Amino acid sequence: KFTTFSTVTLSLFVGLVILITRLGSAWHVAHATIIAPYKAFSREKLPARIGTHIGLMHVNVTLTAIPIGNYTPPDIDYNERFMWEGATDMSANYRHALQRGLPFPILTVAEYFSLGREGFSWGGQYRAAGYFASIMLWSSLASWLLMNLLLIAVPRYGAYMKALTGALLVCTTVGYHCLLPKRPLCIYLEGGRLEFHFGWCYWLVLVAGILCFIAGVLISIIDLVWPH
Amino acid sequence: MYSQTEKQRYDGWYNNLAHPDWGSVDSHLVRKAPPSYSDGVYAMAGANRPSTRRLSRLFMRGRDGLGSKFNRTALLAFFGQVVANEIVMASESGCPIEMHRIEIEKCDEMYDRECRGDKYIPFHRAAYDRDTGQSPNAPREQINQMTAWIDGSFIYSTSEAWLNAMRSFHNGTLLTEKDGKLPVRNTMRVPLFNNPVPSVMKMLSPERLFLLGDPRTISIRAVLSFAILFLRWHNTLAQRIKRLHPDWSDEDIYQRARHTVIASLQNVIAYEYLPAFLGSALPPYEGYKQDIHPGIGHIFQAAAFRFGHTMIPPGIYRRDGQCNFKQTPMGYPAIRLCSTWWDSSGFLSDTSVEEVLMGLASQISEREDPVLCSDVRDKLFGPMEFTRRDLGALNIMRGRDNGLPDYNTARESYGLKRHKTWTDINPQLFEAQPELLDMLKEAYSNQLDDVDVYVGGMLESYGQPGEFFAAVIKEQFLRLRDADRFWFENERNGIFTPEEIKELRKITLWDIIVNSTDIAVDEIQHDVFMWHTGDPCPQPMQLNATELEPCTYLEGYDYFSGSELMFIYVCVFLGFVPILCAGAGYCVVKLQNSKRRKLKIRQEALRAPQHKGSVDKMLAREWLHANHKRLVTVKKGEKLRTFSLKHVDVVSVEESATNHIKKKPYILLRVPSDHDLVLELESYGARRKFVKKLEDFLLLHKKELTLMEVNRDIMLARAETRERRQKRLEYFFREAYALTFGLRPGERRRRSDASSDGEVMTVMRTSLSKAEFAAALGMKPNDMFVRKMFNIVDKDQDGRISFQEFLETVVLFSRGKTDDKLRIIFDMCDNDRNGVIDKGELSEMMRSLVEIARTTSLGDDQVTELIDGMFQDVGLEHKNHLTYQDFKLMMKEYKGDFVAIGLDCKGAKQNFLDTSTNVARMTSFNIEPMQDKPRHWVLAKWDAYITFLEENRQNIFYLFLFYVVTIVLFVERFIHYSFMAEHTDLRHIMGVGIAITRGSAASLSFCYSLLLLTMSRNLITKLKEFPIQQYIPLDSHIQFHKIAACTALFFSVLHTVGHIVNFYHVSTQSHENLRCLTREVHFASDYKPDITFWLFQTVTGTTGVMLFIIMCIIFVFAHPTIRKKAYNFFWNMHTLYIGLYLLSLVHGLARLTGPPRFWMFFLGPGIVYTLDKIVSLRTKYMALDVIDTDLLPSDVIKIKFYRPPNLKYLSGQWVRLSCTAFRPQEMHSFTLTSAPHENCLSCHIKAQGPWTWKLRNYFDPCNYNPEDQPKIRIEGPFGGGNQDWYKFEVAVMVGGGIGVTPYASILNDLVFGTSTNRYSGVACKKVYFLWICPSHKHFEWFIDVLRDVEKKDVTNVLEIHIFITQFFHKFDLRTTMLYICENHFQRLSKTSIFTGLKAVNHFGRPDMSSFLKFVQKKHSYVSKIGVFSCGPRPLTKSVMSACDEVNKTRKLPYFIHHFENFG
Ligand SMILES: Cc1cc2nc3c(=O)[nH]c(=O)nc-3n(C[C@H](O)[C@H](O)[C@H](O)COP(=O)(O)OP(=O)(O)OC[C@H]3O[C@@H](n4cnc5c(N)ncnc54)[C@H](O)[C@@H]3O)c2cc1C
Ligand code: HEM
Ligand code: HEM
Repeated sequence: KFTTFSTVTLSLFVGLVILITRLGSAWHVAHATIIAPYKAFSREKLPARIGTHIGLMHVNVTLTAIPIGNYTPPDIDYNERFMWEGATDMSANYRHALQRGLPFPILTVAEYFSLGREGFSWGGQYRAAGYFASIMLWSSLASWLLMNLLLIAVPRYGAYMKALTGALLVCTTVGYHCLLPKRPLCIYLEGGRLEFHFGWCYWLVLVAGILCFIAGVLISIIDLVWPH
Repeated sequence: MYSQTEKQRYDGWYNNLAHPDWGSVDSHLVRKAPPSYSDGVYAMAGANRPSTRRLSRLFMRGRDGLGSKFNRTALLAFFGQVVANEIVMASESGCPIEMHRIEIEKCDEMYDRECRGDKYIPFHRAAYDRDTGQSPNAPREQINQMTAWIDGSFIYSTSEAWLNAMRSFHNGTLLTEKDGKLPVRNTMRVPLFNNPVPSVMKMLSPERLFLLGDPRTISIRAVLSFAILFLRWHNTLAQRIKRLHPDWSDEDIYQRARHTVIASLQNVIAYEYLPAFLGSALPPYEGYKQDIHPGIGHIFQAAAFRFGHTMIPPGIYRRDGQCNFKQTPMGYPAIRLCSTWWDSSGFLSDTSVEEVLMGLASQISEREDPVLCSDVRDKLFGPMEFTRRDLGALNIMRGRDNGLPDYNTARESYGLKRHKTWTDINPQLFEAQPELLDMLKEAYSNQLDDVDVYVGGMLESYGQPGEFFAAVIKEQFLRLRDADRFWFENERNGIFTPEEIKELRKITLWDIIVNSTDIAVDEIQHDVFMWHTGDPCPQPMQLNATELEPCTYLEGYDYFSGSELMFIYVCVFLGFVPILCAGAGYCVVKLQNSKRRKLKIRQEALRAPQHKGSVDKMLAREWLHANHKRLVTVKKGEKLRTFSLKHVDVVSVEESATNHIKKKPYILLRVPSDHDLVLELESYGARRKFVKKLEDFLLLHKKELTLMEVNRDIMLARAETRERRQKRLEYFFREAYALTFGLRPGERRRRSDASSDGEVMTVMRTSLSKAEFAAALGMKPNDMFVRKMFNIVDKDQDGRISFQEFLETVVLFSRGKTDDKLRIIFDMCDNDRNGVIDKGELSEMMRSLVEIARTTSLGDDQVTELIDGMFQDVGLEHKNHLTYQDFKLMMKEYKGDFVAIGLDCKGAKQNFLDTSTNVARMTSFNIEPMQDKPRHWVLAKWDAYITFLEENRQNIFYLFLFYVVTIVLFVERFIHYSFMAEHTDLRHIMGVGIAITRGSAASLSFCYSLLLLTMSRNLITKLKEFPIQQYIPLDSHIQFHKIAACTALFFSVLHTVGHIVNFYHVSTQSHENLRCLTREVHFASDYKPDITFWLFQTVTGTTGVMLFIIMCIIFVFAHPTIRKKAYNFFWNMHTLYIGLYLLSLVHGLARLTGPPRFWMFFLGPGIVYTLDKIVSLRTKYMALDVIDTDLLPSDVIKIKFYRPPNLKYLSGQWVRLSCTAFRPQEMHSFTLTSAPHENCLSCHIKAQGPWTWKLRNYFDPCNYNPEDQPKIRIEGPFGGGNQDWYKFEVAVMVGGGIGVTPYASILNDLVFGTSTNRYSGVACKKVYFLWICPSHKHFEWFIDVLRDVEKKDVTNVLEIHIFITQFFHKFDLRTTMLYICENHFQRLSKTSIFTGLKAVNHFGRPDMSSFLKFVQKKHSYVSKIGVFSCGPRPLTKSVMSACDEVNKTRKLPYFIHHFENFG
């Protein structure tokens, strides 16, 4: 009873993790508090909290004005998403953002991701890492589906698939880690700078992968030692 | 909260409130004159004008070493480049690279010294906005990759990220090395241009470069010095501001310094440089004019501002404050320009910025005439494949690239009047140099309205930019100034106060230099752009290229160099993969063959354990005939030949003489009445040993050995080899028959040629041994029948049949009367020759006959009973023996048969009887002669054709569909890459190669994916139960699998070869072409990907090579020979398909040429196949108990095992089976022989090869230990070709060999279905079962099955015929006799003498088409009849062709053939 319950829960958990993290935008994140000019034709500076959330296929930039002292900020709360499915998407999106006239800090962050030559290819590198992770997640999803089918049909192979799914998930995180820019991205803004660290999506995948792998290996071993 | 000033963006955006993008990075150049692209939209202008190199040679070549007319300094010349860099960058090529050629005239003094005439300067068209250039109202517009504004982008770059890399974030300064004099090196790899250094021919590391704001800075040392100067100027200002405002933040200081730097730059350019350059000043500033567009004009960019090129000197002086001009380390007076392109990084180690600036300020620039100095006109830097270019030619070409109109039109658009005559362009010049005018006219074919802007403008200028160029330049800078909201004089932008502006207006370049460098105020003149007499340090002389170090000209670089060897290796490797696989396949087959041979020997040894004897091994070769030898091992290994030494007392042995030491010794064994054995032995010692052994052996059997020594050659010549003997026997038979029957008409008597008279004699002397006689009859020598027959023929009882004896017998059989023939039979039975046959003899004869039929089903009592019955029949029941008369009486009723009796021998063509009589023998088939009237042959052909189409219409349709889809996929991609993507780089570099490879990739993806569907066996089996199976030829799935696989192979090979060619092309590309090739891969600027990289370091390349290897393995191992001989290897190698699919999925992921597409094809079939496998796994997972095993004769074993509760199957289906006891992974296919209504499953397995033997031996009761509890795993059941039998009212089933197994189940199912009243879905009304076997003795177990079936068959649906093929199918003595007995027995007991079945026995092979015709006639009321066959391939083939033949007559019913082959 308990085993069924835990198996089902684990399976659902892993499936959910795969789906959510593929779309989620907190693989690599950075936050900073800044006081920076944010629009043209004005000398105004905006105290704000800027966040950058890198997902697999996009980066989300948030900009929220914050009060300092007795300064009440204007109601500024941006959440801009820049997709980078195609290799040139990001630079096109950046251009588009310029045309739309987004606040300067957001533009600055976006610009960092839109560059793509020599050492200035953070966008490309994040995109490559995201692409890899996304492919791995797709294959984990396939493996997860197969795992569920097999757990019902032929439990032994189900257990193997479970271990495989776990391994794939762990590989996803390891690969993502390795593919991140060698020279870490650090974005300077007036009053602060953005330095990146892993976000919850990353950790979730890692945890789910490890759990799944351990469970799979355990079940396999039990099955081998005491068949049935 | 507010900053000091508004933030001015680096990328030029948001300068203009109304048009935020004006002047920004990547905006269009602006067009003032109508474009004159030759097609009006994008094609280069001036297609009919002369080569620009020619123009450059005509008008821009001239003497260097002439100084500036107005004493402009070199500093001004090079500062011009700084200005240009500040506001424009529009000559960089975009993606894809559009290559054009600048023709070089034959024998060009620079580029074609060998007069080859096939050279050209590569020219890349500039980047443009991809949205333009598509229609005449938006012609191609080039892009300015810098901000148009004079906003310090030369210093601060145009991007925030770049700038941040340069900032120290401390006190508003930019990063410098510790002493603050030099900028830092580019260790963070900011994308500076890293062009090849012409003298090195190698890409150098970008990390050696100085980190500065403009990517082009390092191209020229003078420009680099300016960049460093301004960087230091910024830091100087930042320090001052910090001192003034200690409380300011880094950002504030930085911004303030930046604004000041920009302001001073603006001031220098607008109010100091321009007047010096143009000779006239800009009108005073009137304030910000918002509606003016700042964009850089096409003519400004491509022509006017390039006037400055004429002032560039061939080198630069360096000096110190004390006027010491510095020599280069090689002792030249100045640094040569053309030997230092892009090579500025090292030079600051021995020079300082100060020295360069002071040198420049003293140096007079080149003269402002149309002539360019040779350093830029012949020896400008270029790409590695063409290291030196011509700036003059490039300038003109750039004008054409940008679609500039002709010179006159351009003038007009700037408000100047058109020139009417050629001399108007520059009257003074043409007066001085009239030949120039002629050349000009001639070059432009006297078309004044066709002159290139740059040529015209340059010719027009003298001493300073001409009227036209000056107008363009002035207009441009005016717009730049007035449109700039951040212009330093604009008070309304709030950056500077009016006082500050006034101060700023005073800043000159001299101030900047003096303040930010160590140059003292009096070491350099105030007006640095001019050198007037009296200014410090005059230049030693006007520089002339001849006094400077020569520039190397490294011609041509082959990007492929370094890849050649690898490329060849790869090609050879890929070519060898299939060959290696084939070799491996060959070895595997050999290995398997030898394994099988060993197995057979072991098996024989097991069977005859009493066999003992010396097992010495000796190696020898048997000499067969002149040049063929085979290896034999005497007394070990397979027995190749045995001698009978029974009747021989003396064995004569000949030895080859020992005189030839070198040749191996031979030995000849002559045994009477057999051919000789000639052996070649290893050595003389071995021969001695052999002879000794033989002697001992013979002695043991009391025989003698005579030994003779003969010359080797004579021995070989005389030896009677098998072949010779064979030939002799042939003569023998031919003669005998010829003599008996005479010659057939038309047959020439071969031996009539005189030379062979001798042969007649030999034939007469030849005699047959018993063995030879038996072989001629096709029987074993020790059959009783043969013995008896031999005794009869061998009248003189000498153990051999002479020619005469044989002839007599043949004559008797062919011409003799029935009586004589009977007599012979009588004699045969009469063993003791006493003239009567007693019952004993008769029963012995009977038994011998039955023995031929090899059945044990006849018991002694049955024989007695049979004989009694025969006696009774003729009323001789009281007698104990038969006289000849009695015998004749007894045989009376068979008289007719005896007429036809003959004695058949191999090799004899006579005495041939129509096989159809055999059908007549099947008593139940009464066929009347066919009354078809013969149809016209055309109609017959037509019928055949129609029938073929009709029968195969489904297959043809699906095949057609398959190929249409495959080809459409190919063509779709092909067209996409040939026409839709023709402007991409891929196409430019790979040509149609990419179209072909992508096309074949699409087709092969489809084929490979489809392969999975054809192997979804559970699905196919399931589908067979649904009506839709009528529309899909499911039975042909394996066939289709092979076709699809071969199609895939074709496309894979095409794809692979194509990509090898493509990669060759790619690796011959220059670096910048690669940058465009694929956006998915980034290369560092100093990395040169070669073929190794593409093939072994990209995901696509590596997986491609792996795929190729896997593919080769799969295909080679799927060859029919390997499947037949080494199935196991085939299967194991075939499982590599998993790898194939995985790698294919990964293969495209790198997106080198496009997004991956394989998965789209794969997804559906992949899911279906996976589910299918899971279904199989479910059954396979269960280990089934073996209930019972039964060893049956002829190596068949019956295994009965537990039936899983939910397993449903139809009779005729098969499973894959493995046994846990050994090789648990190996699955073998076996038909289920149990009927579906039974409780257990069973299989009958014939031991054939390694696995099946192992199985049999394992379950052999002698070895088997039921404690072991071996388990069976199965996978399936899968549909067999035979499972549809129940749908036909009338069915014909043909089984042969082990192929009867499906019928064991089917027949059981059939009688179960028809005899029980329950509805069972069996539609059959009549089923004919034809069993074809060599003899009954094979597959006795099946007789049991049939017996059982017959018993249950109450409704008589089943009619069984058994065909015994062991005998010749012609009538001969034996079969006739057998037949008589069988008939007799049938009459008596209603069962067969051999089998005890009601089934009728026949001898020989069935004549299928006659039989089918018979069935057709009999069941004309049904529309179709199912024909099922299973067994060896020849059998199913013959049934197939019989069906075709009968169907061709286009009568109903129609025969539908299903079949199954094992293996
Ligand atoms: C649909 C089907 C039904 C069959 N039903 C029967 C049956 O009822 N009774 C029976 O005795 N035999 C049956 N066979 C044949 C049987 O599969 C082979 O005889 C057996 O696998 C031989 O294995 P081996 O290693 O002993 O012989 P090998 O000497 O290795 O092979 C002998 C022949 O069998 C073929 N073969 C080998 N392994 C396999 C395999 N795993 N699957 C299919 N073919 C193989 C080879 O191509 C070769 O031609 C059937 C085969 C097929 C395809
Ligand atoms: C690279 C190409 C090929 C691929 C990917 C491929 C794939 C497959 C797959 C997936 C199966 C089913 C395996 C299973 O049921 O477990 C199979 C079986 C088979 N393939 Fe192929 N195949 C290829 C080429 C070929 C070729 C060239 C031939 C013969 C000419 C061939 C002959 C067969 C046969 C006879 C079987 C059935 C074996 C059996 O069930 O006994 N295949 N193949
Ligand atoms: C040395 C051999 C090979 C090389 C160099 C090679 C190279 C390539 C390249 C460059 C592509 C384009 C991929 C992209 O755009 O990113 C490609 C695609 C493809 N190749 Fe190959 N290939 C090789 C062998 C093979 C073989 C043997 C197969 C088949 C078994 C194969 C199947 C495919 C398929 C299916 C695609 C399309 C992939 C997709 O769209 O997802 N290739 N190949």
